[in-house]
Amino acid sequence: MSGNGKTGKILVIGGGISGITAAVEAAEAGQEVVLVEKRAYMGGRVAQMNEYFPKLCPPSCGLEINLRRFKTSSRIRCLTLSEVERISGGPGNYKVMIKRSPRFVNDKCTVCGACADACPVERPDEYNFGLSSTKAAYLPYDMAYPFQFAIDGGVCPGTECGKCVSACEYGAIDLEMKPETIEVGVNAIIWATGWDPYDATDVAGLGFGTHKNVINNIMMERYASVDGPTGGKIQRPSDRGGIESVAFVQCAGSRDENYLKHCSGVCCMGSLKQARYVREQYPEAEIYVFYIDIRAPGRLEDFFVATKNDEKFHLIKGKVAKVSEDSNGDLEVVAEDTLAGGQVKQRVNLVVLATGLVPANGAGLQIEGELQKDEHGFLTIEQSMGAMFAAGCAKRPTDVAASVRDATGVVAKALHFCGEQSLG
Amino acid sequence: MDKKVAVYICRGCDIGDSLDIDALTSVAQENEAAICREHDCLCGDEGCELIRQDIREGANALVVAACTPRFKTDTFTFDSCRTERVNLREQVVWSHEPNDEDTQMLAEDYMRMGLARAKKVDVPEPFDEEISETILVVGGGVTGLAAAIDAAGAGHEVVIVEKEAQLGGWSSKFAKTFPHKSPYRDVEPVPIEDRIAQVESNDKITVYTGAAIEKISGQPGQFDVKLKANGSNPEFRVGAIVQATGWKPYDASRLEYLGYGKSANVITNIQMEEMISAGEIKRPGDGEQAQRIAFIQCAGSRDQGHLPYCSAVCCRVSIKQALIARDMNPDAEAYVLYKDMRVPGQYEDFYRKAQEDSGIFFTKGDVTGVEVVGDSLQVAAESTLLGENIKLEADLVVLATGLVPNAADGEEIRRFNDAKAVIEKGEAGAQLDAAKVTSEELKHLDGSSILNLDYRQGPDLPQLKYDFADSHFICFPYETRRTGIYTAGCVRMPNDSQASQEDGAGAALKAIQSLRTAKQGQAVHPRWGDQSFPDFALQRCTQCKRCTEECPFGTLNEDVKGTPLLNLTRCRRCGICMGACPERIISFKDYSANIISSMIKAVEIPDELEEKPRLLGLICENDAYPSLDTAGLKRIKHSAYIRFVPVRCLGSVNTVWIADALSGGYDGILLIGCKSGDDYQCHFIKGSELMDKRSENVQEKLTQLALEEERVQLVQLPITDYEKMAQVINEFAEEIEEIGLNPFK
Amino acid sequence: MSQALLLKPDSRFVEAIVKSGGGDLKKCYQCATCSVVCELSTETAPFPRKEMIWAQWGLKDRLLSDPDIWRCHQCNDCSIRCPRGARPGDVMAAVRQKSVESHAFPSLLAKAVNQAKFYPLLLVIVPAVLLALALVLRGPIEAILPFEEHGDAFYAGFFPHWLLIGFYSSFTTLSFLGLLVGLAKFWRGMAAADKAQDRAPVLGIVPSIVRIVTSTLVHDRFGKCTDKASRRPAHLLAFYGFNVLFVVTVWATIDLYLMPIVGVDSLYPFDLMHPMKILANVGGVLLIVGCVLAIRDRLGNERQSGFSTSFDWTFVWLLLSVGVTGFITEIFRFIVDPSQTTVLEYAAYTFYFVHLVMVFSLLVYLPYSKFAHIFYRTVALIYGEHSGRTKESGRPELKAAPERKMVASS
Repeated sequence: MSGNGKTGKILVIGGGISGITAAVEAAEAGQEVVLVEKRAYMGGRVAQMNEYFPKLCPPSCGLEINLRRFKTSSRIRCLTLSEVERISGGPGNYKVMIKRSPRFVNDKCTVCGACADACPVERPDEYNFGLSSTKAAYLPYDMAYPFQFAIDGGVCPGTECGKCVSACEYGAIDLEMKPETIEVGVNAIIWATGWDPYDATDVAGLGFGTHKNVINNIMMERYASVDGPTGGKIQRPSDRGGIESVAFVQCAGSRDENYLKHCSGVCCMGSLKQARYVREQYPEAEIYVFYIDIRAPGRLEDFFVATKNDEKFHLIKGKVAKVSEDSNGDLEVVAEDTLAGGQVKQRVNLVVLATGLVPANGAGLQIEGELQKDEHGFLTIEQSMGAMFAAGCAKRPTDVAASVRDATGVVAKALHFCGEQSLG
Repeated sequence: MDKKVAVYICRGCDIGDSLDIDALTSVAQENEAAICREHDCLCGDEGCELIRQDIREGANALVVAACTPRFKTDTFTFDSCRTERVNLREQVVWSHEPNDEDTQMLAEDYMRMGLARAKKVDVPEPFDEEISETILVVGGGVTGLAAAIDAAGAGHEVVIVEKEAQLGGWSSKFAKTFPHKSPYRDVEPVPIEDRIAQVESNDKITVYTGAAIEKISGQPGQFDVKLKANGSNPEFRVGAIVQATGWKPYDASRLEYLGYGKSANVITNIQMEEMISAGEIKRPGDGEQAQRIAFIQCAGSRDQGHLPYCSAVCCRVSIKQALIARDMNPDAEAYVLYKDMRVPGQYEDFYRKAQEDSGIFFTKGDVTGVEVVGDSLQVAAESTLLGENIKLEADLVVLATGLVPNAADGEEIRRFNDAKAVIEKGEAGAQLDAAKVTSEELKHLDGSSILNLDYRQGPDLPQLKYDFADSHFICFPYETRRTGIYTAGCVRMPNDSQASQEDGAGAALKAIQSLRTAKQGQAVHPRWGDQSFPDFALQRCTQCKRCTEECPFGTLNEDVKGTPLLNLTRCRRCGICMGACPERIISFKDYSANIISSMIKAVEIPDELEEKPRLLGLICENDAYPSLDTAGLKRIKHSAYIRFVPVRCLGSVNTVWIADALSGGYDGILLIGCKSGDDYQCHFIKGSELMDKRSENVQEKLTQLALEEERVQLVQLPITDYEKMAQVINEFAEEIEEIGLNPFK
Repeated sequence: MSQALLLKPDSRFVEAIVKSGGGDLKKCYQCATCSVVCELSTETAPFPRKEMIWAQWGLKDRLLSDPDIWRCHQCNDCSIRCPRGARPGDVMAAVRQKSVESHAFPSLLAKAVNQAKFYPLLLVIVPAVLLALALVLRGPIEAILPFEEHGDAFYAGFFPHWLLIGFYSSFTTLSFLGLLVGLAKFWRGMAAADKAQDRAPVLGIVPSIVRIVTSTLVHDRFGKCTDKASRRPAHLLAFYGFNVLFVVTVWATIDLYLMPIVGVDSLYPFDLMHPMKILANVGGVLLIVGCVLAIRDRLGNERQSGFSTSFDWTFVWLLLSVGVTGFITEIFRFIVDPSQTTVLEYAAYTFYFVHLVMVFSLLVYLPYSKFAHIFYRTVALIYGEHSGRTKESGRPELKAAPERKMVASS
């Protein structure tokens, strides 16, 4: 490229909002990008969210724009169902082995849906957190990118069934597809491997996994989403009943040495937001939020104040340590109101656990020199291997806006290692 | 060159089975399609080869009647000629009854519209301007330094302008900082010195200290900067700007109820930092060593009477100061009274560390006041964890005062300047009185400008809430209303130095991106890569100034008469100016009043005897259009009477289209855009809002024509509401049927 | 603003609690998980969350006059579940020790008894010397007032009963007076605290006593501690073992001195088949087994049993050794032939002497050692019933959730 700016090739690991941002920002700044995502679609966790706090706007609005940026920019190579296997070399000149699992559906797919109609096999839909199911031949979600079906090799009986193959008029299905490993050379690497929701079944006393109407905050997002298991209606799992009262249990695992030592940073805002979901669908519903500290930094405080001023919203400073279930599925949560100094036993229809963020990074990866992680498992800010940078929730539990800022910033850092270096 | 229009109809994905393709073909031929072919699977290799073959034989304007333009985009993109997509799949066969008369009519109309468009649009040729690749960083604090280092690291020349005599900002005034990296437990030295050294030793970076900006004129890639730097007035050109002007502490003199001003022993956290740097924590009152130090959190923050927002760093700062105080004097005790202890993420470990210190005491409490009792202080607090209201004796009270952005409100300053201008002109009458009032109420803004931009819409960036010059978007925190100018650090939100540095890097990248994009004559986000740009037929301009006023990005300046002066690289191609222009003198090569009008007119309006209403839907291509596609994917049906025309933004809708449609016999017009208001979702800031204003005149027009005002309606829908979308359309169709057909048929 | 407490943070007291086993108390961030998981905590008077912050700020007066610290039986359910590792269970134990020490009279003795460096002096030398002195004075006293020795008891030859009884009754009386003073202070403290919040008693003293004593007999509160069921039987055994022995001893004295007065010949010393003797031996076994179990618990997983201080150890070991030496002495009595002097005889007397020393340390130092918990806990619980502070008043919900109607999903 003319002028004095550097250009080169950047590997972005993770196709969530951080990875997508890093990829498009780098591409729009003139870089070649390889974007690796282990799922069958781009969007990661935000694709599962109903709305963002504090604007209560749908993530797909921003995703649509970002995916259009993908389409407009010829410089991004998106690899779904792919994982980095090995990294060698050094700053300005990394060699990366990427394992691509078969999608069993090729680019000829027109998303007509005939394969799914023909497919005899059901599978739990992880996009809906297992709250609904899809066929083994499935479209990850309505606005998925790539906009293309996939076949779940885990459950598909393969050629012996082959109903989808004959159903597809466009020759888009190839059950013979094999995993392949490709090698790319890049100047710099951005880790945007994001997070997984903490598994609250470990948390003593809260009844997740045993009491039907105790759900976690991701499930709540799915229930509230129009493309979720209930078409956007918030319901009790046990009887699909409506909600007259709901308790949000903050720090369900987070800030707890027995489970997650760190604060997950976003759950307070998350629950305040979900309280709004419930109030919108059930104007009479009573909302109880049990907390230790409400963490709404910066202007997010406004959202906290606005929510708090709702007369159906009750804040109790005290952690829930006991949840019990009665015959009709209602729940009793117990906490101490530490300001009033008495115990609170509250009956509710639904309990939402504000479960935290667990860093999901670098598992089973061969790499020269270890990835540097802190005691919580997040990637540290400085990585020993020069031109590798962590962005977003791979680095710290944080919200979307902060992840996007961070992901944009690390591209600038990656640029240091572009241009002048030659790619091997 | 003459156009050779080639039409391709795909039979795949139910299209062939649901429509009469032959009829569709003849429609194409009637509308001067030189070539018209059909194929069972156009997106397949064979189909594409078919198209390439025609291109080789001279086809130069393509119409692909198949799926949505959002799908198979690459497949149907060919060099050297434009492709118009006619959305027969999602928006016709998937969302309407197959083999139905109305569905067929719909398909044929879309074919006509596609052809009309194909005939009118031209391939934009990008402008080519000389672009400076230097980046200006305003503010030499920790954020500015980070921006400068990363911009230089990416290979760009950088100029830093710092108002103080030396670089470093607040960071250089603080002795220690709370930890920013693993293990997040111990107070760390501030690494600012090495950052400054890095900058000073970098030959790509030029530094002006003790300097202020006198004027910035021009546009991205061509900003001409004039400084006031100790006597001299250096001038230079830059391509993009990062504003990292940081923060100032909240004015504690307003916190008298917390004892500030009543006793010298009530200090701010800034004064505390100064004492820490000085190496001794004394009571300012009597110079005695402070044994009992009370920290009052949220002093002025999270307080509707002062700063409604949370300043985000004060909790960690007070913990740090408490630890340092204990370290300097092991006999000292520190009491921390907080509303909520806000130490997010791994910073929890820092709080943990402080808790383990036997001399640091924490409790939640709402501090109601600080009294001077003898030579000590008494802090009163309510709703504490101790089960009752408390009074706490202390030798020294530290107020954790918050952060206030160091920004200037461009739009307000503009109001002030305009008022001044009016007064200077000395025009008599109401206008003058109004101006006097304004200039009086805003006089505190005099000389408050930081960037001194030569922009008609004001010399600084517009502000978001509480004076922060931040982006309104969650997904796009670097979205800016002044192209090529990006804010970073505490000027946009309260933040710690680590986050601010990361932000600085981000702003640097956006700056780099904006000038690299300008270099290729392209638009930046959200229409990145768009090479079209507005063309003004100024000879017909009436100087109504609507375009200048309504452009959300301050693209246009004015000459003395009020004629718009275009600054190309500031433009974001939203077309709002085009929508605003009553004379329709503004147009893009591929998007103009004329093109859309011809599409609208291309629709065949059945005469009243057929009793088939025709509705026009002008919809936002960013959200409403995809939403409609999803409805199709879900096979959600809606009225086949409506014809949709996607627009870049509802703000780009020119009311002439509505007038044309109504006089052309359309029975109703539905405008679908994004949410407006405080939490607006419009990617061009105020599209729906502007359209809303304009439709007021539309209503007038309706009354003139003696038409019911229900015939034109504006709805705002988020992209996810595809179910509601279908419902809205059907309700509109029913309403119009009730009202009856348009008498102008 | 209503009457505010003038807070005087006392880091010395915090240190003291830390030293007594509450080492992690500062880690608490007041989430109140502890108050919820505790099975003994009640809606109106939850603990130990408030005790934790009082301890963090060193609010001595609050803590020492707090009955709730005695409602805790240190099962450490709270310590296990604490998200901050602040171990409220251990903090409560430490505070109880401080409570005993500060209420005891004379408090100096309390402080001394609980310091390892004074053990040799106070637990061995002092009792030994006093007992020796008693033996020395035996002759002169008998010269003045001739006590006739009832029955022919082997050990009486070495340490006559009149001396034994005179000696112990006088010393224990003294120490029990001290105990009473302490308990009175404690009661007044609790009452004052409640008066401050103008709470009026709800139940008479006597019925309160009855309730507590009956529930103590079955250890039902202990039963509520879930995570550590094994502690209940251990404590029950030791509890009954000790009380049985106490009763038997009292009976022996009665049999020895009062029966003759009403004309019944003393059967003392009882032979092995005498019901009282059987009872005594059973009691001894219960005591020993109980102590051994308790020790095993404490040596076992500390996370659950809690941090054991010398305050805990001295008490349980003392109790055990009293039991053991008791048995040894008994055995000697049967194997030694009183008619001729042998080495065994001297060994027997030595063990008997050791036993007496142990008994002294156990009984006379009772008000200052962990042994005092029997009384402080009982008094605190009685006060609880009396004042009604722990009553489950069926605290109303924050905002009654409407009765659930089934809402069909659309």
